[in-house]
Amino acid sequence: MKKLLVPYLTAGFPQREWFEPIVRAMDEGGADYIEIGVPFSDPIADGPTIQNASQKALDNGTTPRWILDEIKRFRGDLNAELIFFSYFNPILALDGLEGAAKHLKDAGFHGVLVPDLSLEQAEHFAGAMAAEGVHYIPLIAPTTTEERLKKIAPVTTSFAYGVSVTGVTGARKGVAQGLDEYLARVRNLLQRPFVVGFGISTPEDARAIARQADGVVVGSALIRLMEQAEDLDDCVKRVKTFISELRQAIDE
Amino acid sequence: MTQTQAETYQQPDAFGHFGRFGGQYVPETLMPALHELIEVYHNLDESFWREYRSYLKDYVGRPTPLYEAKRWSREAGGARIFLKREDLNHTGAHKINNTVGQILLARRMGKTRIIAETGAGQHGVATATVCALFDMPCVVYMGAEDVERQSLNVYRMKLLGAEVRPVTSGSQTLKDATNEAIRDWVTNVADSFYIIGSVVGPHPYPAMVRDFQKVIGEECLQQLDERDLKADAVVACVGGGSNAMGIFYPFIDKDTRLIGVEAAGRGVESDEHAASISKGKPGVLHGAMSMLLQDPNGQVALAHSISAGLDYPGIGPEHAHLNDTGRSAFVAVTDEQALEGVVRVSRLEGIIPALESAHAVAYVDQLARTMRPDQVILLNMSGRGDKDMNTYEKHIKPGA
Repeated sequence: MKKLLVPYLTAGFPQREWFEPIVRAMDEGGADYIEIGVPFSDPIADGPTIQNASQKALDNGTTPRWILDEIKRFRGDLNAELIFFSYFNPILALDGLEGAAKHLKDAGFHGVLVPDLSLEQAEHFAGAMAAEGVHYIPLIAPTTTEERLKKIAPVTTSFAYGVSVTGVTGARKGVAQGLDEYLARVRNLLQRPFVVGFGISTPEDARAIARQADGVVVGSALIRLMEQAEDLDDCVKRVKTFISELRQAIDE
Repeated sequence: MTQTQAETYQQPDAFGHFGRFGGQYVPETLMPALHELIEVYHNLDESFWREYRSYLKDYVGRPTPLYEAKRWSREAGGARIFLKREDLNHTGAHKINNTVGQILLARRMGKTRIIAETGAGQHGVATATVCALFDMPCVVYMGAEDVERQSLNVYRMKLLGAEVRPVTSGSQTLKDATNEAIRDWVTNVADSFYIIGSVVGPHPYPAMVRDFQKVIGEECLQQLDERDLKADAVVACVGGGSNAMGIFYPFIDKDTRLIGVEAAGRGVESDEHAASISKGKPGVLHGAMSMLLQDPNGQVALAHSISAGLDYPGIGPEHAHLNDTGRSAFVAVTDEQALEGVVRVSRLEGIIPALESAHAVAYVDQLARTMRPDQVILLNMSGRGDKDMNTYEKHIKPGA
């Protein structure tokens, strides 16, 4: 099976005008799914890089409704599927869970990923999303027991997101220890594909992870690249090149 | 509340829901640790509670007195006002009741490192204190703004051997300190125990912290009984709400008004307040659904209160539930009124309250005059004012 490449961006960072061009660069670089990060004031699962990007995006006036409108406007000719990545509270504020599900469907999102929504709280949420054809993407962590994996497996309708380390998002040097056993456990119990993210920052990291998982998520490393870009053209070029390199690395 | 309703008060449910509030909204990484905590907490044996009570007695100095504020009652000209003197606890506030309980639990679970968040610094000091007592390394996250306005407590924590990490993200107050503590917890969940300072956070914390604080209300019931009295109203300030929940809980099945006093800051009609119940909407922050100050896009709003301990945009889920059912009432008191409360109880009773507790004082001053002299108000004097001297010096002119 082809390995899945899942880049992340914080919508509205570094500028709102860059949102569409960056998404297009990711799409053209060869992304399979693109995680559209919805900035939140209190991102407890994120490290400094994405915290900072979220704050900048909020300062730029980025709102969930603006993101939905933008996606609705330009998603038509993208090849990649889109994932709405948001903390629970901004989703709740989109006219409640049923309302949010309709909004996500109207904008053309494939799935939704919520880092602070535990499986225990997800039943109503996943049901509301499923009713509109939007996939709930569950998270799996190194601390997830076999017993919990057995509960996560049946609610995974598209793919699951495995967190590589106990910790917050952010680029790290190298790949976490003890990963093999954890990923093997996930592989055994999950019928659907799973991608792995948190701390994957180079094509080498991506290549190593892709051998044991169905795909990789890259976030903070991309945000840092956007931070370093001189202007929009430079940003688009850098993002597209990096995505192509990741693509190549995981396809080997 | 009728007896039938009282008997059915069994909150939270197995998933930590208090009505439509509470629950567990945290990253998957933490879920197994929460399940372990629930398991251990629900199966504590009598030896745990014996140890807990013995530290409360010999180390904390419980029971705290129930004191009738006679001069103040006379001046107010209404109900009899009784003060539950939590300010006389070791470290100067009710916070230590909870940190003693949680550190004993952490030891039973074999954890070797303690994390805490703090606003006014009282919970940080109470955590640093028990960490010194039990020889555990302690990291306290504190908003950079609070580090500034509560410098004395920062020094106390350091003297006790704790590491204080100033948090410079967001509003640089309690909310952001809590975010950072949760991030540390997610990262170090294998060996670290997070001692949450209020009845907030994911299940089982709101219920567990309540249970470690309910000793306040239980003692009050006994102390009133010894005087052959019954409380007509119980009043406590509410930030996250641990002192309030601790004194309310044993009264839930009694015929007693329960009143929580939120911080109105510069006024609930301004944008600068911390009145989550009066002005918030249901939302999720720090692991639980509760009433939350937020904008229409679900971004958490900045709270404001002159008191660092109340400067928080959320509130414990059980309070939100008690507000829903009407069992508790919530009112709000401004910065200015709280400062007047400080002067009043200092001059009339020789007791300088913490800024947080002064919010309850200010409300009781109004409430007492609407009640009869044979009625009793119980006020939780949750902390003493030593930590607030810099603020008092700035805002209150002696002799004024």
